[in-house]
Amino acid sequence: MLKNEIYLLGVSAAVILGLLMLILLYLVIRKWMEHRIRRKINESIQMLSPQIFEYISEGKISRHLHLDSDIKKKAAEELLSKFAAYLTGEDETEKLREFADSHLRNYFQRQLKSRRWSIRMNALFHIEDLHLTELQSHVLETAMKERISHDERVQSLRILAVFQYEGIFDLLLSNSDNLSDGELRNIILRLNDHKFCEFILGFHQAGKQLKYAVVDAAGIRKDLKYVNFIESVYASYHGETRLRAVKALSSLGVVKDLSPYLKLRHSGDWKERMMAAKLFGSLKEPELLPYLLELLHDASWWVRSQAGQSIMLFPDGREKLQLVLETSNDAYAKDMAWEWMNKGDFV
Amino acid sequence: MFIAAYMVLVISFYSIILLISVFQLRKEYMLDRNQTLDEYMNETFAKPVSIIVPAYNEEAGIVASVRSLLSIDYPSFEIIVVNDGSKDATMDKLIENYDMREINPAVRKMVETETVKKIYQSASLPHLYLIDKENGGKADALNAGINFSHYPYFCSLDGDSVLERDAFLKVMKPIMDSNGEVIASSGSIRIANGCEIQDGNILKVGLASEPLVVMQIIEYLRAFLMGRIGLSRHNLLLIVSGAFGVFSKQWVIEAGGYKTNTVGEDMELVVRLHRLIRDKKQKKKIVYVPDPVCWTEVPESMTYLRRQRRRWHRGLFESLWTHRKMTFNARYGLIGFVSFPYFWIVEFIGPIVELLGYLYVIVSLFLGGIYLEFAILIFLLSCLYGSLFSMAAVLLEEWSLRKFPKISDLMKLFFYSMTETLWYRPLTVFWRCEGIWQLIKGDTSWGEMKRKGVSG
Repeated sequence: MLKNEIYLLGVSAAVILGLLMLILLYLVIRKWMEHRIRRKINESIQMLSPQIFEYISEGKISRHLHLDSDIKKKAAEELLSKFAAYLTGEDETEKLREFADSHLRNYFQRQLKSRRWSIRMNALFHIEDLHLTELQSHVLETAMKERISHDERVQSLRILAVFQYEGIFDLLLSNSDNLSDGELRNIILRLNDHKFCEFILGFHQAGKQLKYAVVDAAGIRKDLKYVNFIESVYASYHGETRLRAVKALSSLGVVKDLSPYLKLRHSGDWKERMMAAKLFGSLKEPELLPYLLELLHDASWWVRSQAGQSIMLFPDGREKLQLVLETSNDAYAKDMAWEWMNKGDFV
Repeated sequence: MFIAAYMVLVISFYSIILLISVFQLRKEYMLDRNQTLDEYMNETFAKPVSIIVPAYNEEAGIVASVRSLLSIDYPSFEIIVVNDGSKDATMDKLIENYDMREINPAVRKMVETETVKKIYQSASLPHLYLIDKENGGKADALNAGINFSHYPYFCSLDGDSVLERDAFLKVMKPIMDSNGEVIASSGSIRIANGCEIQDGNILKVGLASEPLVVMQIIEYLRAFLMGRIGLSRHNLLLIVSGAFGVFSKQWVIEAGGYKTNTVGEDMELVVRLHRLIRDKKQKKKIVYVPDPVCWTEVPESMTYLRRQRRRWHRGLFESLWTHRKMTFNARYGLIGFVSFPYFWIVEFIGPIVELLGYLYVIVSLFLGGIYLEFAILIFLLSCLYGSLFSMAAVLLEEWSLRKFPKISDLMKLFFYSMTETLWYRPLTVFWRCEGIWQLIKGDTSWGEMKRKGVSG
């Protein structure tokens, strides 16, 4: 019986040894191929670089410019991405896009259909970089797929936003269940004013995350025409949405009427008191300074810290903090005053 | 045939984990990883991070470490060096090099620590701070850093490790993407010995020439690319390496901060976080992402490696023992039914069983005959099987990070991994058993060597 087992063990040892050899062979050959392909791509880049550059800058197409192999296409893809990153002129960008479209459209289209996730992802990245609007319908197809990875969905939605796709609002309403507010914000920030306004008009239909993202984006855009919208959100919503509205207002630094916001400083929620302190600091109305000094004595560290920072934003803030330092009985408030007076000019 | 049964159990567990990792990394094969990051650099809403660097007698490297940290790609962060009662010139070096001035800030004491003596801020770089406190060990230093930190996330970082510039963006990505569902995230630790490092930047990745170091490189590849990817995927991760991990401050404080009287404070904290998550019935995650890389130095001599391994094993036991109630506890779900049994059976008991295996081989040498053949074959098999996993790890490396540029590096890794069972494995098994022995004796050296003595 033991003989049998020994035989079995011997066979498995041989199998494993074989497997090991296979892995080693695979690794070495792979590495060698990788080096070889890399070298070829680099050679192609050397060759293509002047030709493509000439086309982009002068519009001349060289007779020798054939992207007839995948290696050349890959080289062109790398080159174009590099150019795209630092080209700023409209003409050049348009030329680059044209070039990419005429030479690489099929290449990317094929990649989008690849079975491998990473190839599809890379294709999506490049479509965004090179602004290949001709592939919009394919990207849309990806974005609408039922079974698709999270990253692909996010990236394809982002591309559609860059392309200012007509139906982006409806798409985000119906097709963005698992996206975080940060991801949605990144998508929305790519829209132009016109498309963004659709989101404001349809705000009430949006889900929670999308609402947060829209309010945040309105604040980041720093455009006074959104003040009305944000104030109306503040007036008619509660909880986190309302908090985000206050944050957006403090990023804009303007409100039509102060009075609705004054009550925030007595809120039971420290986050609202902190946001009040932030807003008061960005509005810089002298009448708000006493409230901020009040908030500097708050029970919550976060509120005190924000109040200290906001007070420093006032022209006479430093003197006010000095006064607290000299006269207050509250050790915590004094500490905080000291901290902000001695902070370098950062944050 | 207890040993054989045990082997089958362990091997099948490893194989499952390997499969999960293979699928995961194969999916991401050749992904243009840098592309995905552009976003986060401009992210107005990037979460600011406090980087806490505990330092004990690190005068040699601390200035360079801080310099390398100052140059990382991340929109907003602060660096807090915590001098844990060093007896050398760690403090003076920092004060002198970065123009540190004493400040007197309001600090919320959220976790108890040894007395903080003074706090400094750099006059030239206002986001660089230095806390000077009484000695209390690494965990205590981290707690002091947490108390002082201003930001909602903090990162613990060893003083002698080097971060790749984009490592922070990469490690924070899951946290930023997940709406706060991810409360801790960690990256890969790779071995810096043998690499060219200048001013805290990795210039060239190389393979060290010392066999002991090469073996550790293989070990780390296996542990990270195979083990952690598999565990992380199902939120079963019990270890976030102390050398490079980002945590949500709020959760860590709620869990009570780092525990000071254990040698494995990093693992203990993660176990406690998992416990808190389940106790609060929340859906939070602790993840590992392979591509942010932190390069760290490992012991090159037997003496230090031995101490390190003994310490690790004791730390492992302490964490498992403190939270032993989680083992097979339905309340803790998969953590209780997979992670804990795995760490108990494979990681903790493993060395004892292996030691028995080696003894069996030796005994059968004297018995001779059929037993000898049998023993030799089993031994050969375990040799090959171990190498198979090691090579699989190298394969995963080639699919994902591809840090080794040369074919000769691959060959070298291959041949070293073939020899592992002959010398390195028995050594570590023996050291870990020593760790268990120290536990049984209730060794007085409980608190000895809290800090690693690698490059200090």
